[in-house]
Amino acid sequence: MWSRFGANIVLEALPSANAVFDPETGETHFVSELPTLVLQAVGPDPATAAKLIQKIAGPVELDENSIEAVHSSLQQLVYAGLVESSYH
Amino acid sequence: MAAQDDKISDNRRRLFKALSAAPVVMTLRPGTAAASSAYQCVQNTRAENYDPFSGALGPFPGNSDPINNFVIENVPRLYWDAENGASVEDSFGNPVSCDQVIPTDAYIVEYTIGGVKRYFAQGSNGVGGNQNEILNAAVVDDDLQIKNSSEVFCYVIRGPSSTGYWPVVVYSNDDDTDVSIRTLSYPRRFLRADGNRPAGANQLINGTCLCSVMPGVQQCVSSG
Repeated sequence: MWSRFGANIVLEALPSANAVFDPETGETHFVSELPTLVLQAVGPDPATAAKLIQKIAGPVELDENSIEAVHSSLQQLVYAGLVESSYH
Repeated sequence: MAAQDDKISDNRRRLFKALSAAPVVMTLRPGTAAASSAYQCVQNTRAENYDPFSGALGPFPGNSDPINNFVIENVPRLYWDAENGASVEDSFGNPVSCDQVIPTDAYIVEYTIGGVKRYFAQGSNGVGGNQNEILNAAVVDDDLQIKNSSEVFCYVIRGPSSTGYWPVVVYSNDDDTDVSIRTLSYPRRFLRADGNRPAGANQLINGTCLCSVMPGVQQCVSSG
């Protein structure tokens, strides 16, 4: 389950990546397209990766590698402090 | 409704296109010294994460050796200094007993997981001190109040809290059904993973640069 709290981030599209400024930390993150889409879908209510995919693109079926790429994006966003992983 | 459908449709196109490239997140932190080159950045990463027991430098980003891998999230967290702590007294003036001893040289750091605030004791005795100590605590009027297993307040640390950068290590299993937090004693900045490499441990942030260590990717950027 994944969620995001805190101040609104500022997102600016750049030619090779998207720049995400987090006013809470003063950090600027350079984020490729997939984690950008995922980040925009994460909100304060904890959601599974499947729910996030549905929120982004509606009902789609992704193969195993694609789901793994979404999970990898979420993990990277967690390490960047942009997303929180729920405690189990 | 049509606009919403258009957005979903556009997002679906973006999603399938994005899935063809490796996801990358890199962070530039404010106010840190610039590294002169990506190579220097890697060297700094190794030097800052050296193992004081062996004196060896930390691993190169991209090293997937499970023994030598660690991941650090060094982010600002609220904390209370236990030096300002005291036992709570009952109506007879006797101290209420706690389940844990709070060392006076410890800090108690707040970390929010899934919207729930958790409090961790951080001893100053280095690795092996008071890591992973999750306290039954609550903030009342800026003070941190710790409860015992009977849900009775037994110890109070006077606030207000301060903000500092605290290294936090996040472990999880492959499908994130079991996530745990490990906190390091400030300002220690390394951890060996004891053979259990955290899932998705593919990025390392330090004070001077960020290195993406996705499998097959060895790329660093400096900040400043």
